[in-house]
Amino acid sequence: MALTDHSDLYASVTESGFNHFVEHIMRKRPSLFAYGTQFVADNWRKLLCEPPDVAPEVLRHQNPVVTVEDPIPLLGTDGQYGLNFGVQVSKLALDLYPQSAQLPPELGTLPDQHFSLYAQVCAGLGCPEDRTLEQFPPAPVPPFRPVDREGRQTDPVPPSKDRQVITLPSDRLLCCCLELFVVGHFEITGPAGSEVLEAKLDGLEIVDIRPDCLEANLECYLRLLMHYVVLPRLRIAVSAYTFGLLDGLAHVTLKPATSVPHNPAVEDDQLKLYVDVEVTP
Amino acid sequence: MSDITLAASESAFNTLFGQLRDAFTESASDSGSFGPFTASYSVAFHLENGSVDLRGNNTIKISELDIVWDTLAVTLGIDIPEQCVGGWCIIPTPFGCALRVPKICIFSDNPDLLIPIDLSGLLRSEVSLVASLRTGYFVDPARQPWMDYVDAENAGVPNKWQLFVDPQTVDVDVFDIADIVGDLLEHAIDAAIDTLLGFLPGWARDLIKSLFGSLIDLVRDLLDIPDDIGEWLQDLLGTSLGLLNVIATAILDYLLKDPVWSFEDPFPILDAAGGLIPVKIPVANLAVHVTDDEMVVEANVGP
Repeated sequence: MALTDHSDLYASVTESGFNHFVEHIMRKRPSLFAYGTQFVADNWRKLLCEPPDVAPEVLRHQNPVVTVEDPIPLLGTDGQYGLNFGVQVSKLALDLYPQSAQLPPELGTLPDQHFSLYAQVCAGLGCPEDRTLEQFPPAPVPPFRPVDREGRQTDPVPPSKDRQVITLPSDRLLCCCLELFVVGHFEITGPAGSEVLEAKLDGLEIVDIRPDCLEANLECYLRLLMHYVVLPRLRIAVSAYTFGLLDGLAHVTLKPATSVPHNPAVEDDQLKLYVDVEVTP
Repeated sequence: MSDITLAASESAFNTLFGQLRDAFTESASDSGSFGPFTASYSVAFHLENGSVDLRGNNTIKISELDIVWDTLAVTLGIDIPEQCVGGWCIIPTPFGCALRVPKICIFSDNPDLLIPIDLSGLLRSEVSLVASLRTGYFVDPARQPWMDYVDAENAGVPNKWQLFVDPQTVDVDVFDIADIVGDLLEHAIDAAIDTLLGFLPGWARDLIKSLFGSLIDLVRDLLDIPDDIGEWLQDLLGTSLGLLNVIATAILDYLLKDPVWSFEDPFPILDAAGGLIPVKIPVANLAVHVTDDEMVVEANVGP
């Protein structure tokens, strides 16, 4: 049976090939997988929970290893103080149907035409030491006192917009790593001629977090992170699967084949894509 | 199993082939001297028809690819030995000739006759070839050892995987010359002679033609044209003027000399954005094979 029995073009990537892809992406665009404050970004080798293996060209071209985010505000300080933090996806491994990687019981067995993704997510908060707290006292909030006869407080605190956030210094993060499992499937989306292959989330589970409400909240946050940040950046144009085979042919467009039961198909530990070539006048 | 597998069906191949074929045009001109005559040509052609057949022995066959001659203009230049009439003495005297018939010489130039023949649309050629596919790896000589893939891309000298078509047999059926070409050539010769003798009144042209017999036969003798004008013209154009080589070289260069497919190694999968370098994946062990149904390309993701 030919690979192109049901389409003009066929492309497949094996599970191991995909994981090699992911390794390269993690090494060459580490900032897609690590987020933290400027301080963490400047000292990522020392501060990140799992310092990533970064491709030399990333450093040579002075690309960031960590995407810089604002410090986590210390609630109630009216934006005066913030904390360093770092969050990173430190391991990723894809399993394409049929299942070969164990899943937590909550996710069951891997359904037909689905993939599972194992991720190790490490996060840490820059918890300052006691002597730091002495260096950075609480904001000079006036003690409770009676208001004057007109109802105005005396000695008001300056508006927060006029002040700069002070990130409380810390020389390390309190690291914690979680194991995350995701089950999903692939879809071809986008307008005709510009279709992209993207992953869709069907389930997500963090292993061994108690209490359950904390786990649920973390899972919600991570699901949103995957949905809004990670997965959209990993979409791959269908045309990329031809490795430029059709470049320069102005009258040729690609469209996903519709004569196969599953397109894309996740089977035989491979992601398979069937594409038809259309000649436009 | 390879990490990456790509396959293109025979139908896809024919689609691609059609696109390549339709984008092809070529023009050329040349001239040559062949003893008593010279010949020059100016040609322009494009391709039509043809099909690609994938074969289980790891080869592809392109069959019956037509060369359509949009322009095929041939000009024959003939140097006819000078012929003179007159000059005879009609009143001889002891002291010499008192009166002579005027002497008229023709065919004094070189060439004397220029015979333009426009064969556009009257000829058809056909090419068939069998070729195998092979992969190659190109490292640009301008690439410096210190360059990483980003530097190489910025300098326009990235490494490339390439797919070549290696011809095994090429069969060019140069000309299928229509019978009308024989008449066309004779008319062209006749018209050229009339032009040559145009300075004479009609009765004089007829007189000269009658004196020298059939000038057309003379020209044919000079051109060494056998009874089969088509064969002669085919030999002249294809072999003597080397048009066969022009066709073969142009088509082979277009379809075969350059890689039919090439892509950067490492292959870009995430574009450069916001100052970030592109993410590229090294491709290793690229291999290609052909079956009766499809071409299959396999590769691994490199370290």
